[in-house]
Amino acid sequence: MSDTSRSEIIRLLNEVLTAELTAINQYFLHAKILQDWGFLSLYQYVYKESIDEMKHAEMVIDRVLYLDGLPNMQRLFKVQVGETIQEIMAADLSLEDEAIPRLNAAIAVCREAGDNGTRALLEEILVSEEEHRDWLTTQLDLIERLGEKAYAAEHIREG
Amino acid sequence: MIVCLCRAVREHDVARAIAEGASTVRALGERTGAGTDCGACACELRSALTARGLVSVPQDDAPCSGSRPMVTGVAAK
Repeated sequence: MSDTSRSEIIRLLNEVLTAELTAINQYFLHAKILQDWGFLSLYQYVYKESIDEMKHAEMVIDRVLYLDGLPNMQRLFKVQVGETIQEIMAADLSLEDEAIPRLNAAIAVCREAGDNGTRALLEEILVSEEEHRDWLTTQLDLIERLGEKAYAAEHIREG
Repeated sequence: MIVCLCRAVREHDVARAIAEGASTVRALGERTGAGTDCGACACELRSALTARGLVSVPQDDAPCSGSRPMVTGVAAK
Protein backbone atom coordinates (compact mmCIF):
# COMPACT_ATOMS: atom_id res chain seq x y z
CA MET A 1 0.00 0.00 0.00
CA SER A 2 1.34 3.47 -0.92
CA ASP A 3 1.99 6.13 1.75
CA THR A 4 -0.76 8.26 0.20
CA SER A 5 -3.30 5.42 0.48
CA ARG A 6 -2.21 4.65 4.02
CA SER A 7 -2.58 8.25 5.24
CA GLU A 8 -5.96 8.55 3.47
CA ILE A 9 -7.16 5.35 5.20
CA ILE A 10 -5.91 6.63 8.58
CA ARG A 11 -7.86 9.86 7.96
CA LEU A 12 -11.03 7.89 7.13
CA LEU A 13 -10.57 5.62 10.16
CA ASN A 14 -10.24 8.71 12.37
CA GLU A 15 -13.50 10.07 10.94
CA VAL A 16 -15.18 6.72 11.71
CA LEU A 17 -13.64 6.91 15.20
CA THR A 18 -15.11 10.41 15.75
CA ALA A 19 -18.55 9.02 14.87
CA GLU A 20 -18.08 6.01 17.18
CA LEU A 21 -17.01 8.22 20.11
CA THR A 22 -20.02 10.48 19.47
CA ALA A 23 -22.32 7.45 19.36
CA ILE A 24 -20.92 6.02 22.62
CA ASN A 25 -21.78 9.28 24.41
CA GLN A 26 -25.14 9.90 22.75
CA TYR A 27 -26.42 6.33 23.30
CA PHE A 28 -25.06 6.20 26.85
CA LEU A 29 -26.80 9.44 27.82
CA HIS A 30 -30.03 8.31 26.13
CA ALA A 31 -29.80 4.96 27.98
CA LYS A 32 -29.41 6.69 31.34
CA ILE A 33 -32.26 9.14 30.58
CA LEU A 34 -34.52 6.18 29.65
CA GLN A 35 -33.52 4.44 32.91
CA ASP A 36 -34.29 7.61 34.85
CA TRP A 37 -37.74 7.76 33.20
CA GLY A 38 -38.33 4.10 34.14
CA PHE A 39 -38.31 2.55 30.64
CA LEU A 40 -36.10 -0.30 31.73
CA SER A 41 -36.18 -2.56 28.66
CA LEU A 42 -35.33 0.40 26.40
CA TYR A 43 -32.56 1.38 28.82
CA GLN A 44 -31.08 -2.12 28.57
CA TYR A 45 -31.15 -2.12 24.77
CA VAL A 46 -29.72 1.39 24.30
CA TYR A 47 -27.05 0.76 26.98
CA LYS A 48 -25.90 -2.32 25.05
CA GLU A 49 -25.76 -0.24 21.85
CA SER A 50 -23.44 2.24 23.58
CA ILE A 51 -21.13 -0.58 24.70
CA ASP A 52 -21.17 -2.01 21.13
CA GLU A 53 -20.00 1.37 19.83
CA MET A 54 -17.16 1.31 22.36
CA LYS A 55 -16.09 -2.09 21.02
CA HIS A 56 -16.16 -0.65 17.48
CA ALA A 57 -14.06 2.30 18.68
CA GLU A 58 -11.50 -0.14 20.11
CA MET A 59 -11.27 -2.00 16.78
CA VAL A 60 -10.74 1.28 14.90
CA ILE A 61 -8.16 2.54 17.43
CA ASP A 62 -6.20 -0.74 17.17
CA ARG A 63 -6.25 -0.50 13.38
CA VAL A 64 -5.07 3.13 13.28
CA LEU A 65 -2.17 2.23 15.60
CA TYR A 66 -1.35 -0.82 13.46
CA LEU A 67 -1.15 1.52 10.43
CA ASP A 68 1.26 3.75 12.44
CA GLY A 69 -1.31 6.54 12.77
CA LEU A 70 -2.54 8.37 15.86
CA PRO A 71 -6.18 7.76 16.84
CA ASN A 72 -7.94 11.10 17.38
CA MET A 73 -9.73 10.76 20.73
CA GLN A 74 -10.19 14.54 20.98
CA ARG A 75 -12.89 15.15 18.44
CA LEU A 76 -16.66 14.57 18.68
CA PHE A 77 -19.51 15.35 16.32
CA LYS A 78 -22.56 17.11 17.78
CA VAL A 79 -24.25 14.94 20.43
CA GLN A 80 -28.01 15.09 19.77
CA VAL A 81 -30.18 14.56 22.84
CA GLY A 82 -33.93 13.93 22.64
CA GLU A 83 -36.51 15.00 25.22
CA THR A 84 -39.06 12.26 24.39
CA ILE A 85 -38.73 8.57 23.45
CA GLN A 86 -39.54 9.42 19.83
CA GLU A 87 -36.96 12.23 19.73
CA ILE A 88 -34.34 9.90 21.25
CA MET A 89 -34.97 7.22 18.60
CA ALA A 90 -34.99 9.80 15.78
CA ALA A 91 -31.72 11.37 16.99
CA ASP A 92 -30.04 7.95 17.15
CA LEU A 93 -31.40 7.07 13.69
CA SER A 94 -29.96 10.30 12.28
CA LEU A 95 -26.54 9.30 13.65
CA GLU A 96 -26.77 5.86 12.00
CA ASP A 97 -28.02 7.43 8.76
CA GLU A 98 -24.76 9.39 8.61
CA ALA A 99 -22.56 6.48 9.76
CA ILE A 100 -23.68 3.94 7.14
CA PRO A 101 -22.78 5.97 3.99
CA ARG A 102 -19.51 7.02 5.67
CA LEU A 103 -18.59 3.36 6.27
CA ASN A 104 -19.58 2.33 2.73
CA ALA A 105 -17.43 5.12 1.27
CA ALA A 106 -14.44 4.14 3.44
CA ILE A 107 -14.87 0.46 2.47
CA ALA A 108 -14.73 1.46 -1.24
CA VAL A 109 -11.44 3.35 -0.63
CA CYS A 110 -9.96 0.34 1.21
CA ARG A 111 -10.95 -2.01 -1.61
CA GLU A 112 -9.37 0.34 -4.18
CA ALA A 113 -6.15 0.56 -2.11
CA GLY A 114 -6.02 -3.22 -1.61
CA ASP A 115 -6.26 -2.83 2.20
CA ASN A 116 -8.49 -5.84 2.85
CA GLY A 117 -7.78 -5.89 6.58
CA THR A 118 -9.29 -2.43 7.12
CA ARG A 119 -12.06 -3.26 4.63
CA ALA A 120 -13.07 -6.40 6.58
CA LEU A 121 -13.00 -4.48 9.87
CA LEU A 122 -15.21 -1.69 8.50
CA GLU A 123 -17.59 -4.24 6.96
CA GLU A 124 -18.08 -5.87 10.37
CA ILE A 125 -18.88 -2.47 11.90
CA LEU A 126 -21.20 -1.65 8.97
CA VAL A 127 -23.33 -4.78 9.51
CA SER A 128 -23.66 -3.93 13.21
CA GLU A 129 -24.71 -0.32 12.42
CA GLU A 130 -27.26 -1.57 9.87
CA GLU A 131 -28.77 -3.89 12.50
CA HIS A 132 -29.05 -0.96 14.92
CA ARG A 133 -30.60 1.22 12.20
CA ASP A 134 -33.15 -1.54 11.49
CA TRP A 135 -34.11 -1.72 15.18
CA LEU A 136 -34.51 2.07 15.36
CA THR A 137 -36.75 2.27 12.27
CA THR A 138 -38.89 -0.55 13.71
CA GLN A 139 -39.27 1.31 17.02
CA LEU A 140 -40.20 4.56 15.23
CA ASP A 141 -42.76 2.63 13.14
CA LEU A 142 -44.25 1.12 16.31
CA ILE A 143 -44.45 4.55 17.96
CA GLU A 144 -46.20 5.86 14.83
CA ARG A 145 -48.71 3.00 14.81
CA LEU A 146 -49.38 2.58 18.56
CA GLY A 147 -48.82 6.13 19.75
CA GLU A 148 -45.94 6.97 22.10
CA LYS A 149 -47.97 6.23 25.27
CA ALA A 150 -48.94 2.68 24.26
CA TYR A 151 -45.42 1.98 22.98
CA ALA A 152 -43.87 3.31 26.21
CA ALA A 153 -46.20 1.22 28.39
CA GLU A 154 -44.71 -1.93 26.83
CA HIS A 155 -41.19 -0.95 27.93
CA ILE A 156 -41.36 -0.27 31.65
CA ARG A 157 -40.18 -3.76 32.69
CA GLU A 158 -36.69 -5.16 32.32
CA GLY A 159 -36.30 -7.23 29.16
CA MET B 1 -34.52 18.19 21.63
CA ILE B 2 -31.74 19.61 23.75
CA VAL B 3 -30.03 22.17 21.50
CA CYS B 4 -27.03 23.01 23.69
CA LEU B 5 -25.76 20.28 25.97
CA CYS B 6 -23.04 22.44 27.56
CA ARG B 7 -25.57 24.98 28.89
CA ALA B 8 -28.66 22.71 29.00
CA VAL B 9 -30.66 24.84 26.55
CA ARG B 10 -33.81 23.26 25.08
CA GLU B 11 -35.57 23.95 21.78
CA HIS B 12 -38.36 25.82 23.55
CA ASP B 13 -35.82 28.10 25.29
CA VAL B 14 -34.41 29.01 21.87
CA ALA B 15 -37.92 29.54 20.44
CA ARG B 16 -38.79 31.85 23.34
CA ALA B 17 -35.57 33.87 22.92
CA ILE B 18 -36.31 34.31 19.20
CA ALA B 19 -39.91 35.37 20.01
CA GLU B 20 -38.45 37.92 22.41
CA GLY B 21 -36.30 39.44 19.67
CA ALA B 22 -33.04 37.49 19.33
CA SER B 23 -32.22 37.43 15.61
CA THR B 24 -28.60 36.20 15.43
CA VAL B 25 -26.66 33.23 16.79
CA ARG B 26 -24.74 35.66 18.95
CA ALA B 27 -27.92 37.21 20.39
CA LEU B 28 -29.28 33.71 21.16
CA GLY B 29 -26.03 33.00 23.01
CA GLU B 30 -26.36 36.18 25.04
CA ARG B 31 -29.97 35.44 26.01
CA THR B 32 -29.85 31.66 26.60
CA GLY B 33 -26.16 30.74 26.88
CA ALA B 34 -26.58 28.33 23.93
CA GLY B 35 -23.47 27.99 21.80
CA THR B 36 -21.21 29.89 24.17
CA ASP B 37 -19.15 26.97 25.44
CA CYS B 38 -17.94 24.42 22.84
CA GLY B 39 -19.89 26.04 19.99
CA ALA B 40 -21.05 22.74 18.44
CA CYS B 41 -24.71 23.86 18.30
CA ALA B 42 -24.08 27.02 16.24
CA CYS B 43 -25.58 25.33 13.15
CA GLU B 44 -28.72 24.32 15.02
CA LEU B 45 -29.11 27.86 16.35
CA ARG B 46 -28.64 29.18 12.81
CA SER B 47 -31.30 26.72 11.55
CA ALA B 48 -33.74 27.83 14.24
CA LEU B 49 -33.31 31.41 12.99
CA THR B 50 -33.58 30.62 9.27
CA ALA B 51 -36.67 28.44 9.90
CA ARG B 52 -38.38 31.60 11.19
CA GLY B 53 -37.29 33.69 8.23
CA LEU B 54 -34.46 35.39 10.13
CA VAL B 55 -31.89 34.77 7.43
CA SER B 56 -29.78 37.90 7.60
CA VAL B 57 -26.55 36.85 9.22
CA PRO B 58 -23.97 39.51 10.07
CA GLN B 59 -20.39 38.86 8.96
CA ASP B 60 -19.17 38.67 12.53
CA ASP B 61 -21.82 36.17 13.67
CA ALA B 62 -20.70 32.81 15.11
CA PRO B 63 -19.22 30.42 12.52
CA CYS B 64 -21.21 27.48 11.20
CA SER B 65 -20.25 24.90 8.59
CA GLY B 66 -21.96 21.64 7.66
CA SER B 67 -24.93 19.98 9.28
CA ARG B 68 -22.92 18.24 11.98
CA PRO B 69 -20.11 20.48 13.13
CA MET B 70 -17.12 19.03 14.87
CA VAL B 71 -16.31 19.93 18.42
CA THR B 72 -12.70 20.96 18.32
CA GLY B 73 -12.45 22.45 21.78
CA VAL B 74 -12.45 25.98 20.36
CA ALA B 75 -15.40 27.94 21.75
CA ALA B 76 -17.44 30.10 19.39
CA LYS B 77 -16.33 33.58 20.27
